[in-house]
Amino acid sequence: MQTAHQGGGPAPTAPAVIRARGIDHYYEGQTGWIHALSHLDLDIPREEFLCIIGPSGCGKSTFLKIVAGLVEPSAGEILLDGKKITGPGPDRGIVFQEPALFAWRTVIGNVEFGLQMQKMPKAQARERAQQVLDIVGLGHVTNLYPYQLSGGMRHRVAVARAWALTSAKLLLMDEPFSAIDAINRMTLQDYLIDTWMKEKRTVLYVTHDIDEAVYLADRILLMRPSPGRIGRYFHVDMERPRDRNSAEFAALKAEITEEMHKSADDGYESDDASAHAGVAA
Amino acid sequence: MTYENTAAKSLLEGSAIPPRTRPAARTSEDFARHERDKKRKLALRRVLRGAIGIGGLLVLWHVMSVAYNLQLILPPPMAVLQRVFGMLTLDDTRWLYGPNVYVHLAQSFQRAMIGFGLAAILGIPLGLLVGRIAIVREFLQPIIKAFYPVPGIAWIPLAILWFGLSDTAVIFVVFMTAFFPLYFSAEAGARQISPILIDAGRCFGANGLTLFYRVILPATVPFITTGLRIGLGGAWRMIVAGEMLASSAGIGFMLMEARFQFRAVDLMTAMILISIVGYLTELLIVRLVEKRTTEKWEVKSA
Repeated sequence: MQTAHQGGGPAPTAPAVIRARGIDHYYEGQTGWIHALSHLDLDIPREEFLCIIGPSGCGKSTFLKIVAGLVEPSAGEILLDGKKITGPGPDRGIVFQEPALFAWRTVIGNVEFGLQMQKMPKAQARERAQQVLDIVGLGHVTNLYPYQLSGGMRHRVAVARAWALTSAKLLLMDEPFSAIDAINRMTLQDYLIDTWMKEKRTVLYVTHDIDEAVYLADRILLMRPSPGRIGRYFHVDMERPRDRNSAEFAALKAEITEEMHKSADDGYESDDASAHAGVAA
Repeated sequence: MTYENTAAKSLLEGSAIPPRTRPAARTSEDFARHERDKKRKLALRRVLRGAIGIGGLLVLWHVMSVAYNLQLILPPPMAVLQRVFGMLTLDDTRWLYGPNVYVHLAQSFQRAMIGFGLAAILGIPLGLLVGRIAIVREFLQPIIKAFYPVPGIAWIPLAILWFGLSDTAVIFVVFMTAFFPLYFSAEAGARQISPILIDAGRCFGANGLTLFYRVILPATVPFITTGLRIGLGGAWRMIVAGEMLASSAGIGFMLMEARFQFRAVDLMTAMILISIVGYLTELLIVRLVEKRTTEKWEVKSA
């Protein structure tokens, strides 16, 4: 069985939820203007779990923020189901690196928040929130306030808040578990993948943890830094739940690690090189 | 004989150190009881220390009054206490201040609440808007900064000129005093909100007024409670000053009248009532808000 395809990913067969074309982004840093993203083209097909990995400074978080509508790209556009993204909105759910829960709302109040903003009827919103909380194993703490939860539980609430959003065509996750200790992180990954198996959604997941990417993703995009651009795609065809100790798992991790180091060594490449490596035909 | 003594003795005498006796097994209930007792002891001690402080002051006051024969301008505490009791029970044959003391207190309280309420209704939303929206800030910040250094009391003459010796004049100066702490606390609170909370609010579909009401206001509450506390104190202080100069009723008016009648006992009695009502008002309003917000959410008050 083949676990990873070389080079550019094949053209997705399902219609793409996200279609990014010619994204360039610059921002002003300490040392002057930084070229964060260069000529980025990317499609995410429906119900795909896509992980973007890469060293810090490769622009993966910037790209996620652009998709979220929180950052406006310097050039290029992103279509969400054919509609240009112009700002943040409830057609995308988001999980940040920190839980960013509303301290003044209970657990279920947090999960309901997006639904209430969508004017969903009260009973229906409550039912949906309860359903998602049950999936992430928090059905019994719905009336607690965030301060009463452990760190891991708060992160699960943050995931549930995004997941509950029925209007979301895409879920964005920006290193959601990176601040969690290794053991709890694995539990959270299990909850996440379990949720995804029960209710397939299109997910764009940014991480710098190769193990996490191989465990979660259908497809992994390795980005290269300075300027941030498409590096290489890896398809992960292993059955879920995946065995972190299998040879297949280890082999793919090793391959990605090697590729990542290679990309760190090359330094700057011409824009041409990244273009032919990344763009789907 | 204590254990330490035994140990020391046995050391000196060269005999074996006696084995430490194992304490009886303790259950979680024992610990809970122990903790409860400790807490109760600490609370009792706190109350005791406070009482000693106040008692000391009363003794000093009494000694000063009697020893230096100052009864006329510094009546002894017992006399004042008697007067407080007399006033509150309305058994007073030489009442010189028009309606009874409750009417005066109610009048003052009402004016203070109206002035404070208006200041809150205007000051808090304005503070939030200035804190979050650049265009509002650029227009309003200079005006507010220009007015801020003018103390509330400096508005009294102008208030009398505009509104006469009336409720409105007093309410106006109370408003001018309570506005700034409410405004500035809301503004500072709105500025310090973690950007990620705002992002979360926007990403989940809150914008415009909804964002203010659902995210920015609750996230600012810890600051606002501080503003309420300071604003309320200021309002209550200013009500007395305002009524002393621009009113014919209220506790401040009573205070001024007592001075004209040269009755220090009544003066001090009125001051004690001001303290009590002010304390109770703070307890009622600010503590109520805190109980229902910051304490429930366990976020720290600023």
